[in-house]
Amino acid sequence: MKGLIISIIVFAGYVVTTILASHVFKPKRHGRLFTATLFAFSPLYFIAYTVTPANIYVLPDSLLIGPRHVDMFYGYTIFLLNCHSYIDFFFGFNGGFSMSLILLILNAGTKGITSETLISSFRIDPVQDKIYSWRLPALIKNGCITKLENNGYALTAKGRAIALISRFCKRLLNLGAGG
Amino acid sequence: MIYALTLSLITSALRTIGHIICMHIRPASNRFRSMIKSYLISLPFILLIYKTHILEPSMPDILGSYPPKLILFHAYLFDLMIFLLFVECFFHIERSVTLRILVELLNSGNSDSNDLQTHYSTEDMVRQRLAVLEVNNFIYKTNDSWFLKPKGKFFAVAMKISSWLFQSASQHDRTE
Repeated sequence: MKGLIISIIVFAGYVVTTILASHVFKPKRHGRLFTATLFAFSPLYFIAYTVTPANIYVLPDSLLIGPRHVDMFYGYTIFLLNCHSYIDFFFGFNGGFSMSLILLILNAGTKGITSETLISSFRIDPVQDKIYSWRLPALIKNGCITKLENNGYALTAKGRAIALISRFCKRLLNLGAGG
Repeated sequence: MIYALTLSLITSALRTIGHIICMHIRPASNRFRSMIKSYLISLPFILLIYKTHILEPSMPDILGSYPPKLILFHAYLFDLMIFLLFVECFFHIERSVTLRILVELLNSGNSDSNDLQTHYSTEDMVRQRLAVLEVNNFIYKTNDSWFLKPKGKFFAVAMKISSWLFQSASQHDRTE
């Protein structure tokens, strides 16, 4: 139970820190900020677990049962799962394509907005659009694809592995092409 | 503790396998709702496995030291966390545009950006998402224009607050 309580406290600190860091650094992409903060808070959890007393000043004896190391790693697992949910919430909510559409419809107000206007909101010019303009360079930067001499794109070994796993998961879950 | 975690892992595994099989036999139109249903249906399983004492012979020492209420509390909590992880991973795979691009590249071999945009155009992407949002009661269409339903308005306002909290740009504002 001690591991669970400490993991919740450390997770709360993680959330507050990432929000404050977003205001201070104003990152264009939040992935690194979340990961760096997670790396900083992981040792913090183990330090907090080690230096605090077994009952963390509040727990009754009835809850101080079981092997200590199991409790510690259980708490850390809960911390990681909470962090995953939180980061996923951010990317699904703030970075989500559907949410972007909803926001455009909200901004249109009482007049509403046509499908064509929504589509044009994602275009930079007749050739380029905002979906591909930053994703393809980001995929090159992350080592998932390479740009060929004929302006084509090819998967790297890393990109191919991710694509194969994704295709397998989509088939396993009986999903369509998705996206 | 280990007993509680084992209970939740077994229940989660059974639920996930059952859900995947069901989705192959009869795919649900609203996958999120079907996942919630599978979670609710699986809830009594933890109690059932616990009450039938199936796992007890394999871990007698651990059982002796942990109160039943605490075992069930940790089992249900961990089961919930695993369920959330499955839902999150599901939507990562289903909705991710980046994964879709990689799979398109895998299926087609080398492609240029025009080929990619032909296979998976922004227009199709927007129309497909609008259809999903309409089915899920976020938006409605009148005279060719889209409007928000109360549920959609709630999420849009929540997103504005969240964007401010994280100082983040939404997809239509992002260019890099």
